[in-house]
Amino acid sequence: MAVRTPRQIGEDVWKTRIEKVNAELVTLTYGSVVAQLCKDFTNDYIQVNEQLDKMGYNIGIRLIEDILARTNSERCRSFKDTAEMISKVGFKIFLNITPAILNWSQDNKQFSLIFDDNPLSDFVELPDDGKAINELWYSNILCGVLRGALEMVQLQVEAKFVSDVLRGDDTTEMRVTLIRVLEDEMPVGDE
Amino acid sequence: MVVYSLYILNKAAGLIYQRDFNEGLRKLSSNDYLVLSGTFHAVHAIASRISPVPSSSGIEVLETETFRLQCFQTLTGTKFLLISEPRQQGSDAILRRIYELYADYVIKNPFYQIEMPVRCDLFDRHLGAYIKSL
Amino acid sequence: MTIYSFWIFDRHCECIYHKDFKRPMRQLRPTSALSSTDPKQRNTSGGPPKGSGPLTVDDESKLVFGVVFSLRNMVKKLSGDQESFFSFKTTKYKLHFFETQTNLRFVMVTDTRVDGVRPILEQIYAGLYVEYVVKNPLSPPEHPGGEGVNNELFTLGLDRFLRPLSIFE
Repeated sequence: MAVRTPRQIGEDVWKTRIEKVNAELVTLTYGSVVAQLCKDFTNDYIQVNEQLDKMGYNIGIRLIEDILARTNSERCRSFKDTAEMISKVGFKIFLNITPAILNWSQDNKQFSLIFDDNPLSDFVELPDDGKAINELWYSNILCGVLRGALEMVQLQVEAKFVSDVLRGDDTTEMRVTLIRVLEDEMPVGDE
Repeated sequence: MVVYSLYILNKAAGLIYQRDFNEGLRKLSSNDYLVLSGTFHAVHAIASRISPVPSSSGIEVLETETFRLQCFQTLTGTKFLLISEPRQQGSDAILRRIYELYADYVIKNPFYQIEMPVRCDLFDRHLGAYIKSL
Repeated sequence: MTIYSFWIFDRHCECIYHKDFKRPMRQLRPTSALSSTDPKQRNTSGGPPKGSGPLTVDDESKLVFGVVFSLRNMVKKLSGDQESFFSFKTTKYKLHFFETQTNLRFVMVTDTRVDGVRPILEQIYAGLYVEYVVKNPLSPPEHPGGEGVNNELFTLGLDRFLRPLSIFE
């Protein structure tokens, strides 16, 4: 049996094993969550970012089992492999996008995901109060998702946005850093 | 294909799900099951250690006169133990399907706390139907 | 097809015979997880230390016995006192087990492709152990530290028996 690339795995699963839902529904639901959080925290956008991250974390720790169960994947051999899986399988299966992986650091422990297309932020304009544009990371839930999912496979990472087209930047870029491998939680027999 | 029981162990060797499907094994108390799970988790780990060649996994298959136990460990550290009749084939596929059901009806249940005992009715029903169909 | 090692444990849970066939070099000192050179290595669950190198025969025999004994008890719990396990398999090796009515335990570790080792273990018991150890009038009834088992007739017999088998390389 030929070894499949992450891209092939992602395409395959997306086409055959995923129930699809209307994209507008996702955009609207997410939008109302962010809007409600802003209201609840009286526009303290730093808090909102934190809440989105926490929600994302809870999603991520569950999402990983779904990916593993559906794709039958083996452990990634390097952080580069992990990045490929995240982009070509993870984001493909759940959002049907494959963000570009760029800007690797020298020690291969940091990379960026560039989102040309972000379904979460379709039709969105940040509030005009002068604060949101500097403080709110609209899609911050994705950072939490990555953090949670990778933690369950024994990788402690930090994920944060460094630019967002909603803020007037040129690109939407998320920086992912490997902090450490959680050796003591590695299941037995895995190297 | 006769499946006797399924055990699911969390990362910390805790037994979070146990179910018998067919007669074939003795009935044990819930305490017995807990002890058994802890023992298996430890033995699974040591089996990797005593390997004559490097980088062995833990126990994958255990064969006895009356049953066959297959262990599937996910990358997240959860173990699925399937106990079936002695010369059962195709346990791999069964375990994969069970993992899918687990990912769907347990993990995606927002009210289920990860690593806690599994009390999800949907999981029970779908699992029961799947095992019955074998 | 490869045999890695062979062990006999008596009913006092002691290793009374051991032979390595194809094994990589063993360490000479007993392993000590705490003297590991990697300061980041923590032993959280109290389980065996990871990556601390190959085991000595002593350490390994204790662990092998532990595994075998625990599994044997587990199987007895699930299936009844008359039952025991035949073998278990990992990705890299297969361990075969045979216990006599006198609680003498024979363990053989081979590669994963090997099957049907139980009759071989039974034969080692009946044809070699009983003949050369039990029936030897000069051999003590108990064998602490392997005394009485490691006699020439038995070891030669074992060698000659295993060599021509297709599972021995």
